[in-house]
Amino acid sequence: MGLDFLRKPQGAVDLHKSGGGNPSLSRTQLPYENLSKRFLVSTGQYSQQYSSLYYVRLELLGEAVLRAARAKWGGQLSNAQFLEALKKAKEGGECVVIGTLYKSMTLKPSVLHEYMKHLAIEGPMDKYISDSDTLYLEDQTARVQLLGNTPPVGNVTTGLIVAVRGRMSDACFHATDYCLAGATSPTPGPAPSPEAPRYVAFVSGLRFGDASANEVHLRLLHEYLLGSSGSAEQKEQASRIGRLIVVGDTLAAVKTEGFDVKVVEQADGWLGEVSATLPVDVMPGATDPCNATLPQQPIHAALFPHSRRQADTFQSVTNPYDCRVGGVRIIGTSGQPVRDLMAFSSCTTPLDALKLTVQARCLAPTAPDTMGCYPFTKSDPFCMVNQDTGEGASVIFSGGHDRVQYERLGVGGEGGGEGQGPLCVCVPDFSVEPVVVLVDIDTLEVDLVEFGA
Amino acid sequence: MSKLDGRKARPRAALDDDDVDMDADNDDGEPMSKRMRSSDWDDEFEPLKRKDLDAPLDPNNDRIVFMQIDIDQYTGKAKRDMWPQGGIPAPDQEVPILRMFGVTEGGQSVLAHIHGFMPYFYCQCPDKCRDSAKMRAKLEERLRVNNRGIKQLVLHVEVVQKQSLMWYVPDSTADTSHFFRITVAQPRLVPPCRDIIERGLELQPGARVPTTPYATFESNIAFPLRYMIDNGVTGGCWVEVPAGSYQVRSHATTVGLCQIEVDLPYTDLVSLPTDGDYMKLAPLRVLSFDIECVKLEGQGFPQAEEDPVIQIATVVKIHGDEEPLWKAVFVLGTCAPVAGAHVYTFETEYELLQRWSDFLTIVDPDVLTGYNVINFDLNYLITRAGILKVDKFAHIGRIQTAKSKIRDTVFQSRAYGIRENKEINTEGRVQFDVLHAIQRDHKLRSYSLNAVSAHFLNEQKEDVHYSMIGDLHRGNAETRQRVASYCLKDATLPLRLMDHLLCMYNYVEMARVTGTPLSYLLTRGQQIKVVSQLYRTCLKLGYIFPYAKQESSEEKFEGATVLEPEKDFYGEPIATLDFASLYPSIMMAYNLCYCTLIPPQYVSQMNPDEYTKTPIGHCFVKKDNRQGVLPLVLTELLAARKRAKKDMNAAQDPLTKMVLNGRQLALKISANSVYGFTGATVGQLACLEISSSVTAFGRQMIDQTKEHVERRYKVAAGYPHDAKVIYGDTDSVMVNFGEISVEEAMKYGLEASQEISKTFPPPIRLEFEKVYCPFLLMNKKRYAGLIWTKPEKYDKMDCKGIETVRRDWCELVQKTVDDVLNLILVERSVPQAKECVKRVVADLLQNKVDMSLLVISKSLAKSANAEDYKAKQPHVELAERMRARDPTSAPAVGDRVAFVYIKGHKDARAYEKAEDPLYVLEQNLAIDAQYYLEHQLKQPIIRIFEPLMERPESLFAGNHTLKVSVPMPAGGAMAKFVQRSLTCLGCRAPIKEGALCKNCKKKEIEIYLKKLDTFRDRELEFNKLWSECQRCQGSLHQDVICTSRDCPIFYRRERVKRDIAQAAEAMQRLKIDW
Repeated sequence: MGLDFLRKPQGAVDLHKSGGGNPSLSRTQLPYENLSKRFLVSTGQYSQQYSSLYYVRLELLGEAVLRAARAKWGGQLSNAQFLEALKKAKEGGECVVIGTLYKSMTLKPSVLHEYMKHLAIEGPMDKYISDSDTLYLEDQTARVQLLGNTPPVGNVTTGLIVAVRGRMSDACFHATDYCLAGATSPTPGPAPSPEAPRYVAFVSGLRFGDASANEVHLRLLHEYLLGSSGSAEQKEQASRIGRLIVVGDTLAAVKTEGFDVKVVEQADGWLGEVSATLPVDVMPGATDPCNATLPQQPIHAALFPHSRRQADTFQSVTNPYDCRVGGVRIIGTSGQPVRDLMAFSSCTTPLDALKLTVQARCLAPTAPDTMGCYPFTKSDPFCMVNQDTGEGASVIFSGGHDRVQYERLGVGGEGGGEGQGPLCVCVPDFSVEPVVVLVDIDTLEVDLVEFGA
Repeated sequence: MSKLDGRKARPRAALDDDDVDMDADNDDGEPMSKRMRSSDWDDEFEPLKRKDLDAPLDPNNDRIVFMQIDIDQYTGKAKRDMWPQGGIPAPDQEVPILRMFGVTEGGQSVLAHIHGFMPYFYCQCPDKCRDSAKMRAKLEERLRVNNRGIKQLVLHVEVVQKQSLMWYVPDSTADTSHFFRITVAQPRLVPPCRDIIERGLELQPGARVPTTPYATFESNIAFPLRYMIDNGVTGGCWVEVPAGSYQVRSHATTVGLCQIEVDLPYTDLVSLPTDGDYMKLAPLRVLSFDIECVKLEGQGFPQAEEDPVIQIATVVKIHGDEEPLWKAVFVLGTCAPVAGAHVYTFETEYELLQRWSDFLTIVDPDVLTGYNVINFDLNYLITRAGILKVDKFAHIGRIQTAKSKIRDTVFQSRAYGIRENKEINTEGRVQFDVLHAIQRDHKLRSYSLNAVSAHFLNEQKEDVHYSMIGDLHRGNAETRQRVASYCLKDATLPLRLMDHLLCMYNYVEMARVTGTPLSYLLTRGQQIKVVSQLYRTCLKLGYIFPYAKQESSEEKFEGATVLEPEKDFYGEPIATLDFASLYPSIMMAYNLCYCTLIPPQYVSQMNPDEYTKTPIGHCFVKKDNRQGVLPLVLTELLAARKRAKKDMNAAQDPLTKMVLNGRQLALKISANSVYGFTGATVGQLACLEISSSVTAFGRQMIDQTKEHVERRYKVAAGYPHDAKVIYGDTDSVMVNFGEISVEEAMKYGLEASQEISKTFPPPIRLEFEKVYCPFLLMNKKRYAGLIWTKPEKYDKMDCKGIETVRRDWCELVQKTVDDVLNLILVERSVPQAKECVKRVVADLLQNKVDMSLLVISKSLAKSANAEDYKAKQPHVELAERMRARDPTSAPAVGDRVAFVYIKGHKDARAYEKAEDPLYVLEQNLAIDAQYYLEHQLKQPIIRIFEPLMERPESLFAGNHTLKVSVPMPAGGAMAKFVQRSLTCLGCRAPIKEGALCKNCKKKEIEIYLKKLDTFRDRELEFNKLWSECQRCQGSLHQDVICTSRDCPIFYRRERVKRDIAQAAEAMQRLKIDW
């Protein structure tokens, strides 16, 4: 039995104990750094409003957008035509303005309608877009309506920071072109390790104890991760996983009404055993017993009474989650922002929506408009701009989706090309598609391990 | 590039940098003070100008057709060529000339001076003396005393044969059908003539002009209306100035600001019937505006005498167009661009006012609108312009020389109550204040623009407190832009309301139907509309309308009948039989009119077959003898309504449909107001004999119907049950035919209505319209049920007399009543309804009810002058307390004071317990749940449940009332004595440290999950509420500053801040326990 690396990594450094056919197997170890401090909301203040968040977001991203705009149109337009404020847009003259998009939508759910009872309250819908949606661009100085379907109204949402080229006419801005900040370039990690390949594994939607969970798949996953079953190649592969990130929806079955301690025990047991040999980060998701809006705080340790004792290999972390593993910056969410983006735009696949957030450099553009988030005032932690470390993320993930999708972006976030940009990964809900996503942190290539029949 | 230099600010607005003062340079390096030349403004406003005629008018070949919207009169020299041969009174005599304003189909504005029509009235000729020359001389002589300037005062007297509208006088009596028709030189001479005649005028010894019962006739009608009546011109109708009949004024002689200005004799103007092509409305230009002003010093609401206007937002729309033609905001100081609007910035208030007035002149609007715009905005602007000496500003109207002046008026009407108003003359432009229209036509909880928009447009509106406007104004270009967007919204909403409520169609049709000028409809009461119609019919039939001094009388007469209700809850269908247009049809059926009423002393001379004696003993002659004028007016109105409804259903074009719908509504309202006119004791011609007879007939008919139904529908006669009339009111009777299906009830109802109709003289008709099932009859005029007009499915729920619209009821009552009735009637579940009440009671006691549902509001009357109120009033006392706390935000006179009742000390009076809801939220004060139970919920709820259960009071007692939670006040006197000790989050037992006691520690996860649920709810609520407000205000980047207390989420938004902080604190404590 390949139980060789069923140990804490520290202890496994020079384990060459015999047993099974792979005497040299040992758990790959990856240097790790948690970069998620900015997502911790320790003492919540709620006397402030959301306007500051928009202000900070525009401050943080406006500059990057301006740089992208200059790169795109600098040859055709003079410096003076890049305006520093929306109010400076003059009637007639071509110019570039930068601001926050606001999409006015007839179908957007409104709390007023809920209270006024005038309209029949619709249940949640998959899509809230309609032909009558209109776009506005605003900054601290003004708001103007954008005409010309640029950017295409369906493709974008409220909260994105964009540069728009065009001219003012009849008090509206007639746009001819636009651009986003573009994806950050990954900061190259250290030279490829001789131990390559080295993996970080992503799994989402384990849903212990939930009706939708498949116990067999969960057991297979457990055995795979611990190297206790499977082929020699599988065991070899599994031993090279240096970290497991559980991307939300682990404790979907933990309910306030009819709380069943067995669910906690099952999840805790599973995670405890896995984290005995493999560092595990558990992120909360939409269905977890956790606060509802972003950033979600680490799931309460009382729900992991056993696992939590392995303090150095088990952590309950925030959603969004930002970390550096083996020198590679990884950032992502449990999927709520991507799903919200899909509901309020014409994006039909999670990957398209995820790519949009990457190109806009904002993890959750629709927060706080159609998605809840904490009213930050001094920072917008969702912005992917040099916040703490000055480096761009190499891997950007989103969990809980109905299928697995991934793509290595080009420089500046353009699809295809040389593939020098970050890697975008949509991690499927394990109960829907039982897949573990392995990301090779040296090459940013993806391996999928399936547990289906 | 901007096409204009200088200070034109569209849309780049003022190009200042942040936080610089108003006369900073813009970024083109041009000083802000550089003037935009007049020609630039002309260019700017060019697209707003009305389109000129394709070719100049040729008076000999072109006719002018236009929709007239306003008529007034002025005094001028008689124009010789405009008078019929020999008609001119005297050379150079000053005569009244009418001015008619209107718009052509092509959108050109027209002013027609109409010459030759002179004021006149009637009085009765003395017996045996019909000497008109003598009459003229006598009157001239008496009148001359006070009128020396005019050459000839009484122009003409002739003897005519007419009948007084009042009384039927049998032929055998003296000749009373000869009258002097007296024409005078000026409309203002009519009242003194009337006085002279009323005081007694002797033509020759023994021949006095009779002063009883009426001295004069038709001596109390506005001159323009007199003209309209005599020439068949109705309000808002189309008229034709035929080719060859008019002279076009040259540029030098125009006095108006219209594109076309002509003179013509009154005999040549043709009024066109409002059918076919002339049914439509001209492309009227509607200008809506709103101003903002700020208090310079001190607190309170800005006063026009001292405080400047800082912004004027204006929206111009052509009636019938989808989108506005132009949106503009005139701003004092720099201003950032406003989405979709032209922003014009000014350095001085003087310039702002001047340019706005230029703008107004160029737009040349036909209709001025806004919200409370005449009493407040226009009044404020004119006052300011007067103080700043912006001389040309005051010419709001279409006459160059006419200055708009402000007059205080008090308008009193039975229907609308007493209103203090400002009257401002705007010749040729119709004032249509949307606030007044809505106050007239709709009964609402609140008439704030916010509440009204929410009600009709389902849209909230940001509401910025006026003290905040000052701060924003003193900020920078961006903060002023906030004011501008806000102001613009206030100018846009009235237009949208007008469109939504079809105001233009309905009011123009009302003017056409009643023949009343448009401008009268919002400024005058109901009577003038009836008067206008009566005069017109009288003219046709040879009657004249007596002038009666208006005397308020205390005389009362018995009103409609209400059958004693059989209070109960009926599960079986209840058929409703209605008399269609009851009062009008009674008047028609029995020929009730002024002119058919027989003076009591003559009754004995008549053959009883010739008249109808009403149930209360008045006698009216029958139709064959003399047709009554009122019945004739009514017959015409009802026939016209039938036609309009038929045409409306046949019409394809939606605009025609709207016009016709407006017309049929107007006709219905008019028909119904005739009865009221005869009963209005402060009226132009009250006649209680008519009105009391009408109600007497009505009572009799209800009784007869009841009797008939109960006699006919009996088991003995082969019907399944004995029918029972369970209730009847004014014009309807409700019949319980027993336990049968809705379909059967409809069959019997229809049959009964047809049978019983036969027993009444036409056109009285009993109609079967609907069945109620189930039906909850609570009391007189208080019932609820589901209406069925077809047997398959009910149409809707109908509630009468339970609406708690008045604002001294809080919304919780309304909401609970709605929910309960829904459960009883639709769900047919009394147990659920009881549960619902219990839940509300429990929520109230546990402080879970949303604050906005508990708010009561009252407007703060003029100066909190304590002596005016014997009893201390809660809202007045509260306003005082709020002023002591913070004078800047305290309510001022005229403001609505919103308050809730809080728990006070044991003997606290009601007025001491009223508190500002915001303060209550901040301080976490306890709501006086008992007050809301006892004085708000209990009575209406018990009334509903009385027919349904024994002891409905029990809903307000019992287990669900045991759990009471009272919040811990955050500050204030009590809090000082209360030491907050740490308690366990699970069981509230006092603990020393941490979050949970030993016992609860075992259930840590469950307790955590419970607290988490609360926190999640609060998070989502916080997000939904605050992001909604961010959207509603139209800006993501600026803080929400709205304080609209009418908004259903305002208090929730405040409360959630506290609730979420509390929930977060609990989460935090549980976290430390790791």
